[in-house]
Amino acid sequence: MGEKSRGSNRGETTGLILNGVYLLIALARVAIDNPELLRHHHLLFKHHAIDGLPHALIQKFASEISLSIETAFPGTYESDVTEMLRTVGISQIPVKEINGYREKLQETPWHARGEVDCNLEFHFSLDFARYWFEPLGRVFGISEQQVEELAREVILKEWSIPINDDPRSNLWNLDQTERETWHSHGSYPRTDNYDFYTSYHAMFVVSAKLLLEMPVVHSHSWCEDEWINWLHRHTLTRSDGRWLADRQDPLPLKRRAWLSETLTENWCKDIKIEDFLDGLLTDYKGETWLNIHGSWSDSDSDRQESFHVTSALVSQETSQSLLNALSSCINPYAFKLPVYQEEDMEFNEFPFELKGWICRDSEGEGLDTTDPHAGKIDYPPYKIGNSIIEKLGLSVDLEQRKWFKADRKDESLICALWSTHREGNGDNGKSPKHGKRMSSSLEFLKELCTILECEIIIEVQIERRLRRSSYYTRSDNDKESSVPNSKIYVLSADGKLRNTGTCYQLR
Amino acid sequence: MSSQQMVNSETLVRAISLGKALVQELKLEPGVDTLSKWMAHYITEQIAIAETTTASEKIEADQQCFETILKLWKHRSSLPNNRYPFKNFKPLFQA
Repeated sequence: MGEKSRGSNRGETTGLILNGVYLLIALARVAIDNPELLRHHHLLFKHHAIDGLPHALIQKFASEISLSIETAFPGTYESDVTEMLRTVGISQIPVKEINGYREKLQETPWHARGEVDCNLEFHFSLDFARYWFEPLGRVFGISEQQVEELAREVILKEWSIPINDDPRSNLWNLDQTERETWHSHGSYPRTDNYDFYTSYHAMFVVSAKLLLEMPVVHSHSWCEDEWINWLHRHTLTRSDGRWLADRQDPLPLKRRAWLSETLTENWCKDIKIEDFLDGLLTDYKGETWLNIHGSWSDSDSDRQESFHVTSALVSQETSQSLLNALSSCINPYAFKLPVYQEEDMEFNEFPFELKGWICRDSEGEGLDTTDPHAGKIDYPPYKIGNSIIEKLGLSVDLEQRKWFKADRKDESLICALWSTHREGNGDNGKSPKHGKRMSSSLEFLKELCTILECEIIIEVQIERRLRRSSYYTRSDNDKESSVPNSKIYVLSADGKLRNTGTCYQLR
Repeated sequence: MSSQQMVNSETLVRAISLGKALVQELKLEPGVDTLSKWMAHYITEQIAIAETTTASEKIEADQQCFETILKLWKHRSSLPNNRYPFKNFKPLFQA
């Protein structure tokens, strides 16, 4: 991407698209932490955001960079320019409400004016129209055919790029790498071949043009904004401009004892009370903490063990009977402790009150899920429910990693996300480790119980299985071992942790 | 961390044992009706308390037991598939 390519669409095509999108994504991240490094080039970023080649991704990230610079150095741009930068990627045409699913297809202004040459020769790869052009067409209520025709015009008329076979195709046709360039059903390929690359960027040029000229249609009540929804699938997972890799935590230092012990034949079933407590209790900065929500696993070359912990708030009067009822369930899959405001899972019939307090959100996968530095972390992190935040006076840091009480300097809760998984290489045959875990100080949990006049019911599940390489795999990985072992505990405001047989005083 | 045995272990063991029996009687196991199981175990917990206490404690446990039976009844009657507890006792109650 260089200044000298400015003003020439063809020059920008080769100079910007081929290198530019991912560079702009990287620079947008740089601009969040170090906008001063990019300030000198502020006109260049403004150009690509507003005046340059229409391309939805290039415009989006160029405008984000520009706005980061403007935020750090107010007055960098004239106020009207700043306002234009804020509207990049936002339709300025009122949304068009339509009934039903593609009830009546619209015609693009270029088609209506007869400006589109429908006889151009360029063949997009199999299913590209169905899985890439069709979703874009749906945003504007037009057919995939018209999106395809516009994309063909961009490639052949605007860019005038040569249509060549990709000389690397023989490499990818080998058995072991044939999936390298697959983009079936709209999924991103691991590697872009020439054909995909051209089609993909032509689609983003068409999308930017459509956004300028046509209203976004709205037909589904479940989707607030079809354009944002479509674009989100092609941008970063996080909406705050940061990357998944920013949220990757280091592996927990504390490892399970069995990792240094020899594999025994009954390892999968040989789960003791101490194993549950080992997963539930931990220490942090010299204090007792509890892992109160999440899933995590550890493994070696032979074995894999997974913990699943959930917790909920239960009324004091009936906590013992719920503990008894859930501990007596034959199948741990027959019940579920609710997350915050989980419909049909919370009970509110005094004195039978069971409420979730931790939110489990989901986020669509973005471009950075293939970033090797992100691993395969399970984003987004857990959050505390809003009513609990208000009652306890909680705040959270930018990464939603550490939660603080207003009257305490140190963190009261931590949500950690980690993963050693690497795309495509299966962790090099080693043992993958991953986890998403909310932990809390005992002091905070006691305070939570006191303020809300409740107790905390916790389920700890342990699943063990043998990895394929193990000598014992065939005999031990039977149906029985696939059912997790489960224990239920109740923690009360006095720091007592109890199950149906034993009570532990935590300090 | 220190650990200690539950103080009311005998009452608790009795409550759990009765609770399991009531859950079986109501055909709640296997099943996913957590609220009914919870109420059933609460009822037997109150029965176990009533058996081992006197005076106001016993009266309170009896009362809780009575009220929860009605709640369980109401909850079960609202469930689909005609899963009405004590259905076989209906003619008896009417008499």
